[in-house]
Amino acid sequence: MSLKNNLFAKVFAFGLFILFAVGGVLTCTLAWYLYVEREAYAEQYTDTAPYYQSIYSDVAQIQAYGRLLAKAGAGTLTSEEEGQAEYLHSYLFPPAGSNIAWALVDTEGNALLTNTSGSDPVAAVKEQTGSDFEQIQADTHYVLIGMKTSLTVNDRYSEGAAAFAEARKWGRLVLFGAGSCILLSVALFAFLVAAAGHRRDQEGIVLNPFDRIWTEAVLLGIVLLVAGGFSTLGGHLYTYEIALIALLCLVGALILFFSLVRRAKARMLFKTSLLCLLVRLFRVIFRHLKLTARILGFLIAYALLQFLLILGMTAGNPVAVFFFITTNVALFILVCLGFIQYHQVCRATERMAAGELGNLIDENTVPFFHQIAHNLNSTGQAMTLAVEKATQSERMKTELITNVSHDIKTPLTSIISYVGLLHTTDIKDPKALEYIDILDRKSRRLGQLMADLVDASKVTSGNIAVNMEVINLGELVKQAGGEFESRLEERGIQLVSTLPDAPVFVYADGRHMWRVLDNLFSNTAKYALDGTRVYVDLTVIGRDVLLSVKNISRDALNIPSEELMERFVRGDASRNTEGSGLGLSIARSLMELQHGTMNILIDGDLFKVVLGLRLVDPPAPPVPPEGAPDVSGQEPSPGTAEGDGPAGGPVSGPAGEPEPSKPAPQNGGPLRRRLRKKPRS
Amino acid sequence: MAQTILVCDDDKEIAAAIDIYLTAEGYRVIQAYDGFQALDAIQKNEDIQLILMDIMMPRLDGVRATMKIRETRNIPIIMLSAKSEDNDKILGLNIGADDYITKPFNPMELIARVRSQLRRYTSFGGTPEAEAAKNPAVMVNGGLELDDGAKRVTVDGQEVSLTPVEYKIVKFFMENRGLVFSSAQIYESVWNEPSYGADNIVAVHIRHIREKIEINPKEPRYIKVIWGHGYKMEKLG
Repeated sequence: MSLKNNLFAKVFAFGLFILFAVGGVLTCTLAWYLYVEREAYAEQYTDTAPYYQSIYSDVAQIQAYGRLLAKAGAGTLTSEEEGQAEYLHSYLFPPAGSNIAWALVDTEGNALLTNTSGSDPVAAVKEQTGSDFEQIQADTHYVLIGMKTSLTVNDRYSEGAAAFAEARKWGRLVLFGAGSCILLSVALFAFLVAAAGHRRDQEGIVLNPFDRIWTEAVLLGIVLLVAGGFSTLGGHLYTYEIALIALLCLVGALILFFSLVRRAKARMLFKTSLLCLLVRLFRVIFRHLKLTARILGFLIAYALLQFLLILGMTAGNPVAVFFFITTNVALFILVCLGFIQYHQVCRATERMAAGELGNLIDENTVPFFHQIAHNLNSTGQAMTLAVEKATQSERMKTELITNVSHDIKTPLTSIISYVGLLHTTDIKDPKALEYIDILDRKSRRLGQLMADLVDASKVTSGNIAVNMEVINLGELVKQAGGEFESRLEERGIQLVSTLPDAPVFVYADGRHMWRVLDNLFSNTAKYALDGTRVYVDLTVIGRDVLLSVKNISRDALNIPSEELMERFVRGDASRNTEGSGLGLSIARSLMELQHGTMNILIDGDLFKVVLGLRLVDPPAPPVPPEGAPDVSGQEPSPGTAEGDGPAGGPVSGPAGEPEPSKPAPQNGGPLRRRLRKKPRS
Repeated sequence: MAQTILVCDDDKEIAAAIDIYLTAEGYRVIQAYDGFQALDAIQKNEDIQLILMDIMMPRLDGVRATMKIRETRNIPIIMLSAKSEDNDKILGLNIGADDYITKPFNPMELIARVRSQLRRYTSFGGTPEAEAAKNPAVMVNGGLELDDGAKRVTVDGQEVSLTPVEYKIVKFFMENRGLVFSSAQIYESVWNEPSYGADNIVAVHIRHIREKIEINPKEPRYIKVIWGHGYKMEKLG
């Protein structure tokens, strides 16, 4: 921390490291010289290789001299050999004497030549060398040779022995110095690596401008400096200039190296490199190229490759054939994959257009169009969220209206109850009675309004259960007509309905359809001109079922039909009549919930509502609620002509139900036959 | 002796108004303002024969009070609530209420329903079933009774006057309780001739019948409209 951040410590450590590194190199070189050249590890000089080299060269001279002497004894010595013998003699028997003692003996043990004095050369050699001599076989003779224990003259033996003694003396010290230098320099190096990039008062690794130089350039610099340093050292060692240059090279290389260390620690090694810059540059260029340019570039590159491969193939190169096939197969597969994924994305967009929300596509299945798929999914999710929010707010609105309506209903109950009680008191004033009547009417209307309001909010928010089933719309129209006939008759309005003979089956919720017709007929009963006719027409056109209700309005209809549908908007002249004005709006919402349509047409005073639904096939076994018998029996059944027995009697009678007065009905018509085929639900 | 009715509603004015109406009809009324008071009143007054129970009340609500009462007593309970959703009605009837009236209610309808429940509960002189067993020409469905011998229809003991066609339709339904018939089927069975065209005569007749035999023709108990299918006579216990 403190040391790592301390610049002085680091500079000092750097200097020390250089010192110890150089010292280490020098001491190592020295140690190598002492131990390998001089064999400082040996016990004594006579055990070392240099000694043996000297001995063997002398033995060779002695042998040569011996052979020459033998030749001289035979008298076959050439003049050239004579000179050689003379030289060898002066070498072997120097006037100043020798530091070695030797003797050439034959196999019998007779000394032929020696540089020792005395009668027994062998004993003399033994004695003079302190028994440390070598017996070397040469031809048929032996040479006994060894260094004398006391060195009297200055020759290579005395020099070698002196050098060895010197090496023995310094060897361990140099070795120790080299070891210490290496250890210290390694430790300092480790510290420098660890401390690289750390600065006082600054967190993390700090890079200096120097570290922005391209990594490759720095690497090149290091290589050049190291190579330069070695090459200068290689030739002429140890002149000061060269040593200085080598040292500078070392320092420079180290500085560059620590720059790399800092980058590596800051994970910037690649980012500061030229390669990275080129890659980025290429990417930017590629990104800003237009799509067509990119495709063009790709195509040109591909065509070039194929051209080269075809050239190679015509030259009969099997590698070219292999690459030609693989590249084309790969391209084909890629194109196929691209089309498949494109198709998947297309279908996802179609689903989205059709109103599907949420995650539309698995992004991982379309890597080519990943971004598009991701955006699609994001849009879908956003839409889901929006729809959820809208639904929730709509539901909260409905809940609010429902709760408020509960709160309003309670006091309203009191009002209605007490207005009713007022009737029972003996108020005689006709005006008071009239007022009470008004209160009575209006309080009831308020109740109806509340109910309508709750219904409207539920229906428009879709917060209502829809039980779709196959129903006979003709039957429903008849039922509704029956419910309303007397109310219409009170106003002198005649109901004229035209229905097809055959039942008209639609897929709808019977209770909601009734509510729709209820609202339409209520409207008619309220707003139709007295004494006119109401036409109800049920027609089937292809698969479309159209139910129209037409009447002549009592008041001029001077507003657009759309406005009629809107909540709380009614024709001005109708303002004071009963009704909440929600009827048409509720009816339309209910039709939409049942996947139907409702349109209002206004032509002068003609008010026409057209409901649209889809025709469905009659239910195979019509299973109306609670397992009742057939309801589709529109066709005349002659069998029912006899007696007034019920058509569905036999299947209805559950056990234990008292029906004693009627035996099994006698009419068996088609109705019964149909009933028998049906499974009881 | 006057029959005793417990009126339980946390709105004291409503309870008082109901009290006045029922007292005018000759009933004895006990008021309670929450579920616990209702339970107390039942403990103290063994002769309570009907309970009008509000649902939303403090402390103990009407639903739980009704469940508690049903553990020991079998007297008719009419639920009275501002909650008009189908779910609320179904819940009320499922936990043991005999009828369900939504607020704001018509006082006359309330009285009619109270009377109907009381008649059924206290009809002494033999259960309708026993009567029916005696006379095979009598058919009974809930409070509706049809005597084919006397050609007489009574609702909760009160005779209703029906036209011959209406009588035939009611009889047809009484013989086929719980089954749904289309208007054409009803026409063929009652008129004995094939049905043609867009005639809504059956619907009109049935509406008239409902107006005569039902307390509230818009919420019929006996002859129900199955929209888009036909009509049926509800099978009552």
